[in-house]
Amino acid sequence: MEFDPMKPIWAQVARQLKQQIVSGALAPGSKLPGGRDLALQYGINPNTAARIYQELEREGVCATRRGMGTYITEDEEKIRSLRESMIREALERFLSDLAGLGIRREEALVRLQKEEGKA
Amino acid sequence: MITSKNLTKTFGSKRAVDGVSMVLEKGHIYAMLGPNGSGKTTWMKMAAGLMKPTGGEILFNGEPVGVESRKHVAYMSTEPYFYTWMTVADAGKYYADFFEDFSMEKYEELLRRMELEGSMKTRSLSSGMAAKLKIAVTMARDAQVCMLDEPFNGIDLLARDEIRACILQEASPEKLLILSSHLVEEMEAIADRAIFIREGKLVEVRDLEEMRDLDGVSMADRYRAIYGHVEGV
Amino acid sequence: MGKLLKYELRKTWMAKLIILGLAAVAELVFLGALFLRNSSGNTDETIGISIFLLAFIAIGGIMMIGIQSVLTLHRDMNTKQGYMLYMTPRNSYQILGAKLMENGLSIFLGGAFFFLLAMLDVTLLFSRLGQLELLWQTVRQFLTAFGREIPLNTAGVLCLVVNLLASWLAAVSIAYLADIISAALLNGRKFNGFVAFLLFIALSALLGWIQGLFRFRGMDFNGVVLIQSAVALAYAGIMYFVSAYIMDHYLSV
Repeated sequence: MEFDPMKPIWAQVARQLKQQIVSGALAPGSKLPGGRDLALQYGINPNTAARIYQELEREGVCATRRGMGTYITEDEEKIRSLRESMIREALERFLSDLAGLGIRREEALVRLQKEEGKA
Repeated sequence: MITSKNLTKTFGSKRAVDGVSMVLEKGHIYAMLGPNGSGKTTWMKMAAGLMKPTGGEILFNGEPVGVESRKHVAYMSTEPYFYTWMTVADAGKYYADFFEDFSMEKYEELLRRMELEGSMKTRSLSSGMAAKLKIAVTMARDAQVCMLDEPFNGIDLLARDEIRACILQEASPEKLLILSSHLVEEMEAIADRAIFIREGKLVEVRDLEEMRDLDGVSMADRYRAIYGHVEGV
Repeated sequence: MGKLLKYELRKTWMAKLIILGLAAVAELVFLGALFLRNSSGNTDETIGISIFLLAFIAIGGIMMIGIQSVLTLHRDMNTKQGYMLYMTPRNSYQILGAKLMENGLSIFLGGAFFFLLAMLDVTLLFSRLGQLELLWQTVRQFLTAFGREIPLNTAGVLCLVVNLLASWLAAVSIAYLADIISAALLNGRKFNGFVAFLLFIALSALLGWIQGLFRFRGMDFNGVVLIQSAVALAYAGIMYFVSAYIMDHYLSV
């Protein structure tokens, strides 16, 4: 994974993990790699990896079972709301990018449909 | 774990390391940064006990570095330093003879990963292979402190990934790793703290994630900000 | 210490093998010439040359062993390969001790080897050439004429050999100290090498002066020689401690 070195790396990896959870690539209740393995997998500092799990736990997306490791939540409601907030976030980013080009929401919608038609 | 107290080293009239005070803690990977000749290597050699300070102190677990600290501190210098008669296997044997924390099993595993053979003569290794051998023999120790001076020098892009993986595997909450390199980008994700040294003086020690969070800058950005006007880069 | 000793030996064994190899060749020539003497004409010249060669290899070899030891120490302090030695968890007393011990052993074992070889060859020479007894007597008379009563028997020669070896080891230890001072204290200064050389001369002269203090009246020749050897060895010990102290406190590699 390529990182933007100007932004905290933990946030970038956490974001990717959440995307995988929302998309279903990581199933609810499944075990996540240990902190060291996560560090190796992404080529990041182990302290950064530990921070990622701390944040995901704080958000309730995963839970650490003592001596067992870190697991993705089985709470479907939680995952649904994570999905909602990530979709909203993506849409807002999309719209704000277009707003930066002076394109209003209605026009944006039209353009999107047009692009969709091309594809 | 390593405390540098007003540490100074002069060569004639040149102050290679000039009053450096800092405390380096275990559980972290430090990137030691600065242009060539800024004093990184000299500082490391003093921490390894190879060079005697002109002034100040360098302590390992509260004691001045010396014979005892060398049991627990692994140091890899930039330059190749093996005896000319040694083969790759001899180099491992030598470390096994002197360091209790050296594991022959780990060494052989590292040699495989670095694509080195025990029968190769150290004298006739290419510079890239010699660099890999230095890493293998140093990292095969289970040392509390591991200092690697320019671990990416002379090493091609693919092997650098392998070395970064080795370094990350070595990291643990009980260990202190210090890497110096002018290839700042190579260390961006694996280090969590950076030591900036300029003309022998300590500029600052920063937590990298905190720096990205608060200032929105990368280690490389900070490097340019500190040294840019010195080197004109 | 054993491991340090092992590697000191490993660093210098090539030269020692070469010396042994040369000695073996010269010895074979000597033996060949000696035993073929009557069957294939006059080989006296070859015998003479081989004796000269053996003596040269013995003396040159022992000298080389000492010089090589000083050169190895010099490399270990002044090149990158010194990291190999000084990063080990061993103190300077152990590091230098291993060097001096390895060198002392090599010099004395080498000395013993060449002494025994010489004894053997001389005995062989006597048995093959009876008339050599005459030459031997001439040498003895010549030495007596010089006004010195040197007992040329086995014990006397052995004492002299021990004295030579002890003096050589002392010289090597003085060279160690001079080189260590040069690397640890004078590094980067002007006339560094020259100062080290002067130091070597001065410390050697000091040994000579101290040895002079131990020249007791009324003692037989062998006794004097052995006391001088003991003084040289004690001096080497002092050089060792001073060297290791300086190395421990001031050497940066």
